[in-house]
Amino acid sequence: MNGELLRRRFRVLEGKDGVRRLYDDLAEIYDHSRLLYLTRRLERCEEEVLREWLKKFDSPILDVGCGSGRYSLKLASRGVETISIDLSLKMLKVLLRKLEGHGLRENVHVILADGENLPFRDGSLRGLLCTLTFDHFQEPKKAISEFSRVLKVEGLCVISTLNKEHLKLLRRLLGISADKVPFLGETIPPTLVYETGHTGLEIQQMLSAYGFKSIKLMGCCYWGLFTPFIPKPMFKLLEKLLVKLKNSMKHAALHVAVAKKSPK
Amino acid sequence: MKYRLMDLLACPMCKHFPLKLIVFEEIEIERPEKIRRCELYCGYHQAMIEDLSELNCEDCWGKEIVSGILICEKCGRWYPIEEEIPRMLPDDLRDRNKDLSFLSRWKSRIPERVLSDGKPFNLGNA
Repeated sequence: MNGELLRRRFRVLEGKDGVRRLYDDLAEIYDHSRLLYLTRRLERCEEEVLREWLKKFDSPILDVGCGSGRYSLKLASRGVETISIDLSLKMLKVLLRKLEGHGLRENVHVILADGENLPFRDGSLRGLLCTLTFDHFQEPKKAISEFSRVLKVEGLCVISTLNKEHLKLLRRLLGISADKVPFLGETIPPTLVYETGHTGLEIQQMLSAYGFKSIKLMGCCYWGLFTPFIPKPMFKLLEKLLVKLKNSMKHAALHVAVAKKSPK
Repeated sequence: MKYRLMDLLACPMCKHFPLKLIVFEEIEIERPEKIRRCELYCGYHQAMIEDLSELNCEDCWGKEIVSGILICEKCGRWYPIEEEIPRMLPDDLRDRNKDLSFLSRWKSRIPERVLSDGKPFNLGNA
């Protein structure tokens, strides 16, 4: 595969503003784009892993990088007061439309805001969810320090990250730079955007440096780059089998860390 | 935006709490059945809860702010509320032209000090 050729065909969006532009461009097609197939499968596996944890959240909870609201809708429908923030105004407008449609407008506050500069007072929130967003942060440590600042003691924090070892392989195959990930969509040009990757262990270390106590580290999506070739019915079965493998975290494309804010 | 969000909102830059709120437009909405009580600050009365004898939560829950402005009295920044969405971005992610047109559109309702000296943009430095 000629990486240089592939790179020439991509639009490159730099930095935080680039991330915002990408999601603005994707907003109207994000939920149903067939070209976001891989994202969708990552989301479904992550949701399965987080299903029980979502039940533990108390009001008010912050959904950082809420996008079109896959978790905000779930939480609001359980009666949890949810604050949904995103850098993409167009994504937030899609979320507002969905909330109206589901009659859930009352339980959700929608704010245009940045995860690295949270607009909340110290110790004001009981829970925080940052899924498939953390890797877009330019200063992940600053984000975690903000998460710690706004959470109450014992507040639950859930962060998911793309396994950086898997991303390395993808980047090598496509010949793209070390901090970018490709995005496709029917109405956008193929785009490279800032998205690093971490390991769950790295996230745990950052969390513990900023006053969190780790509770659980989970992995999912064990099929990595083979995803598009695995038929849907095989999915859950494979996940259940592969999670039992020794060193299963190494083979998981997505790592999810759950932590609690410790008393000072 | 709901008034009760004021109990949580702080300036994203200097973290000052509470912020000052000026509402330009609001609408009546259906009241939710069950709701979390505000902890420290009542956005509806714009006062600390410990200083209020009556809260009127039922009235507050039935309102949605469509447009307005949030002002940080500590660092002098201001943040627009448009289409029911507060826009609480750090300076480097704000759009100067859009912010200035917001100030022009609502200048009769915005305090003079914000119009002339508000951060990061104001009509004095436009």
